[in-house]
Amino acid sequence: MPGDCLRWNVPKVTSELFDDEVVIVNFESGRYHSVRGAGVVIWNLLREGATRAGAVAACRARYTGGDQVDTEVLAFLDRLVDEHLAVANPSCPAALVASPASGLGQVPFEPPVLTTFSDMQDLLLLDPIHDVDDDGWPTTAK
Amino acid sequence: MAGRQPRSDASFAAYPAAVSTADPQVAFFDAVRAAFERIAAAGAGAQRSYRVAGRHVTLRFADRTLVAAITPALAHLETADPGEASLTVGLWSGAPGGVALPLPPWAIGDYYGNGEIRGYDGRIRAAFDIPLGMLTLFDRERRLGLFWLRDASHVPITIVGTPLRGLFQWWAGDDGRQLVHAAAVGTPQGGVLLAGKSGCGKSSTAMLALQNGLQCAGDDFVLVEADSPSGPWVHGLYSSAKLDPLALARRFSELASRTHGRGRAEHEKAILFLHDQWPARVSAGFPVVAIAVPHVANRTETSISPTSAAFALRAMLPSIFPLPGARQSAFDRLAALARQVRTYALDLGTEPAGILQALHQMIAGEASCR
Repeated sequence: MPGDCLRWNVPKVTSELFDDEVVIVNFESGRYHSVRGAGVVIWNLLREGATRAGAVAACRARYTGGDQVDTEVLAFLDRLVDEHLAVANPSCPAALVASPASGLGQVPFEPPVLTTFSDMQDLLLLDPIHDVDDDGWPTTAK
Repeated sequence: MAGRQPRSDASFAAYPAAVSTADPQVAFFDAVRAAFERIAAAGAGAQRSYRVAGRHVTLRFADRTLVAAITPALAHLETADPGEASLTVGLWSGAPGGVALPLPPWAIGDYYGNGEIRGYDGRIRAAFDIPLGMLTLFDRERRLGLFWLRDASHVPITIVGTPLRGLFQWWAGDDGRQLVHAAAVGTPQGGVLLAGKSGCGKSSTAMLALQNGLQCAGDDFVLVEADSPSGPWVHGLYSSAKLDPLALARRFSELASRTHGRGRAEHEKAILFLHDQWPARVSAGFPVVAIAVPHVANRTETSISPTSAAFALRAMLPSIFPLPGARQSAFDRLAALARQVRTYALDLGTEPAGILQALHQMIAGEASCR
């Protein structure tokens, strides 16, 4: 289906992966985000591009949790798209190999969490039309 | 102090002229620069030289209208030796002698909320603050800056406290340094970056540190360098501290008479120039050993708790949005810094002794690490 394969929305979006959290900045919107839980794994999967089904399968292999995994992963992917952090990728790499991340087997599912901070976004929006002074430079509306 | 005599020198002319004016952005820069030189040629200006983060910076004032507003926060860095300037900035205001700014070549819809101009992200950087009527230009190749203010008679206290912020970020960014909204306190061996939004307790903590013998590299904005040869480093830039009226009245009443800008607006912060008060404690810089994210806790005791590098990075991120410039590089620099040092949440109590103890623990690395 169109948009089924997703990838990071670079270069509009950048991120830094830490052990248990990803910090993501959307330079276009001015919003920044914190991703935790299984979201860290999912975000990593999208680096090169992954299908929704591939992301679900990878999380199913990594975590216990059954159907909750499917629901949470798909909802999280939708949020990434809604926030323009992930976009459709026209050429998805080969299907992901669904396997646990380590030899220790599955671990309990931690639902992905996306926290959004929008306190700075107004600074990046284009300013509305202003008045112009006699020399052609904008001024605040009188 | 050097360079107090008004003079018109050839600092700009010593730099190579634009190779070609085919680039409309370079052509605009040179047109603005020509306006500056016409005004400076009257010989009523002034020049100041500074050492900023180990480099020479020269400010050329075409007239004297901006000297009193721009120079106090940088006075602690002034030097008699102009050296070979790594950055030269021409400054003026209004239209002296009827010399107006050239018309802007961009469209009315090209202004971003932080003043940046769409498309000026290569060799020439440009920003225009519409409410203030403040133009800032930077030519990265020639390391020349231009700063113009429509009206010098009402310079906001934020400009007096941290002048030329955009220019310094453009210039320093090319050397891997990053301007960050933070205070920095410590010793020559190492210090703590206090990062967070206005009102989180940065300034009050920095004032307390200064009063009790610690050094301070800055209260509001400092330059950080994650990959300096000496490890993570903070460079002092401004010696100004911003204090809100409540903190002044409750905790630092003895400093109130030395502040500037009080009474301009009901809730506007006042400026204190730290080098006036503690000349020996205003530091040019020191190693960064920790980042602390302060939070005003409604209790007596202060506590520190190790936190993640991600948390510290998020506390610094709002710094990169108001500043013009390459945000990807800014993000990378702050992330690199957060990864290299200890990171803490600092819950500030009301008892000064506890705050001081927490600062010393973080500086010494005695608080448990993440």
